[in-house]
Amino acid sequence: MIEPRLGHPNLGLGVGLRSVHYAHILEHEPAVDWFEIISENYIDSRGRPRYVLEQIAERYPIVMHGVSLSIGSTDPLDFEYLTRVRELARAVDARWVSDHVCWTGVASRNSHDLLPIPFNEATLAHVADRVRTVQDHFERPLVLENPSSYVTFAASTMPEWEFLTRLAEETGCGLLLDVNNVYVSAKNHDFDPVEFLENVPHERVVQFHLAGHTNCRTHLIDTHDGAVIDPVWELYRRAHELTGGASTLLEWDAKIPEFPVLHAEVLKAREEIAGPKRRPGGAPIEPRSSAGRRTVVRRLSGAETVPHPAAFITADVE
Amino acid sequence: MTGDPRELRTIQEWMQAVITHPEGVAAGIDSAAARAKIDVAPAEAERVVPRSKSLDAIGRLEIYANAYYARLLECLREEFPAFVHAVGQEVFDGFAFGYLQSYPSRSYTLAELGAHFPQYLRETRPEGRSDELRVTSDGNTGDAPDSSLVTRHSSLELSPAAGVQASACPVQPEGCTPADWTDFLIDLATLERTYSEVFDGPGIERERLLQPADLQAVSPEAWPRCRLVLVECLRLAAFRYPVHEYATAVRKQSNAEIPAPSPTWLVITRRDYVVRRAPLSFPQFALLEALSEGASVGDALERTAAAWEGDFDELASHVGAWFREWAQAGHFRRLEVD
Repeated sequence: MIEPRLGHPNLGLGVGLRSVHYAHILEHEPAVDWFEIISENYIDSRGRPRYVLEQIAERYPIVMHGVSLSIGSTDPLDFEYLTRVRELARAVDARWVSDHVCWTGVASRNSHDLLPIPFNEATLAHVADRVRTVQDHFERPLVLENPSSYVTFAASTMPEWEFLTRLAEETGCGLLLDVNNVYVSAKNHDFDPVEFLENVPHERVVQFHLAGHTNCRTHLIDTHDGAVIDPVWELYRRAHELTGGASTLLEWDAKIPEFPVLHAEVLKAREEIAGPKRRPGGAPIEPRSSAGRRTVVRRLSGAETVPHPAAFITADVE
Repeated sequence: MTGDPRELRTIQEWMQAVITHPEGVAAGIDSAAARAKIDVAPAEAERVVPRSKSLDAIGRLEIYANAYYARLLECLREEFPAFVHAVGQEVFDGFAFGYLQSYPSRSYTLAELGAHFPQYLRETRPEGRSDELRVTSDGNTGDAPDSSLVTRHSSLELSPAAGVQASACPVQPEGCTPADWTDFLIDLATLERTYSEVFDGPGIERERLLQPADLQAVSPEAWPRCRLVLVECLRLAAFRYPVHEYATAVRKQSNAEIPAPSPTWLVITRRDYVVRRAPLSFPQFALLEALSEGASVGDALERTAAAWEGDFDELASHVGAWFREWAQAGHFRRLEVD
């Protein structure tokens, strides 16, 4: 019998810690239940980001969320990176450490994107082996998230939910169920998001992610640049029912609003758990860009929608 | 097909070659690098990536290809805001696009993405010019002006066909030679990268530093044999332009104008987790540089005297104040006596 959430507590409603909010959080100590950090922004920091994190970790529970583990890559695991993650997790008493079921690059390169893997037996064996190695290094279960994706592979032989289920069962890892990603991928790949939610192992869901995305007519992009839309809230409510509830976090990585706006958005989760609400601001986001081929000029124009992650902290200079 | 499209390594190498190709997905699929892994033509890409109801394989892969450059360019723009302001975003993106071909990220952190950008600019400046642009004691840059050069740096234009092509410079200020303009841009990129490294590198906020009173406790006889160890976050920089003033004006969103050339020496450090920079005279720079290289105070002063236009006694009369000022600013980690 597996404990709900792999035995982890339900931390409540949290938000992603972003550098633009450092001053507000330190000054106002907002009533946020917990914070999630992007691990890579802090594991090497010897400056203000790390200093601020240490102060926040004294006041709030911290969860570490990585974007460069590259658990699905066929390059060797980077043990220097793993050690730095482990050291920071100990230093800030991270409640758990998460990353994505993806690869970020091969041949020593890093695309800094969360690239999808084909879902088949060979990939499952490869990823499961690496998860076990990472868990041995961390001396704790890893928590893995379903990323948004924009391609599927002819080499896939099973649905994503089956891959995640078998990966979790074979390795004992937890799941970070990103409800927005389920919605985005379901639209992009023409599958039923509810079927996905109903089939993942609910007792292994340690955490939920919520975020906004961008509707490009022919596809959705996981931009983390706006409010959560109603269909995603509906999926969240269903996921809550199926799992009995888990720590819930709102990600907002572009066009980041003032902290109170961000906080108010995640607090809507309480209403959703109590019962469905339709809000004027919750309508699907209007399309902003058309699909189709883009020239190099378009690609470099700065007008492109950029999927998560694009986490970069700029220097404070006198 | 060359490789097995069901094999994970093959798929990953193929996809990386496709989505990072500078001329786009179709060219990427058709590239030698991709076809060496999975030998499909663009029209056959659905043998690897099936179409969805709305997008074909190329359209789906283009989401990743567009995101790859868009994301990394966005990070570079954030790291080099004054450079972007100087050349405009379109030209900057051209620089950055070329940079990513030469120096693709190999780090788990985006903080390292811009690490080689100043080096890339030096490497790709027109042939016949020195990579090392040292400022000499007489204030000259040591670089002969060469107005015949139309630098690749200042003349980038984006093209859907070729990616980056040379054309007339759209941003070079009037009266500024291409060589001068390139010098300015290299200086500016070097400064902004230094800011990033000092901001998140090792600092002094939790350390006890040498205070002015500690210096006063040293006997005059012992001074020449002392070594003043500089703090780890301190950087010394010599530039041909006062790029620090330009960068500050951009960050403060005040009127930033391209400055005239003027030999500039800076000390860049961090206090209270904020990067600080202060201009130095050349003798001050020479003294701190000698100390940073481990010279004793006596040896450092001798080296400084070579850069001093007045007599040695006059220099000696200034040095005490300089040391007190620098100790107050937190530049000295500790004092060692041989």
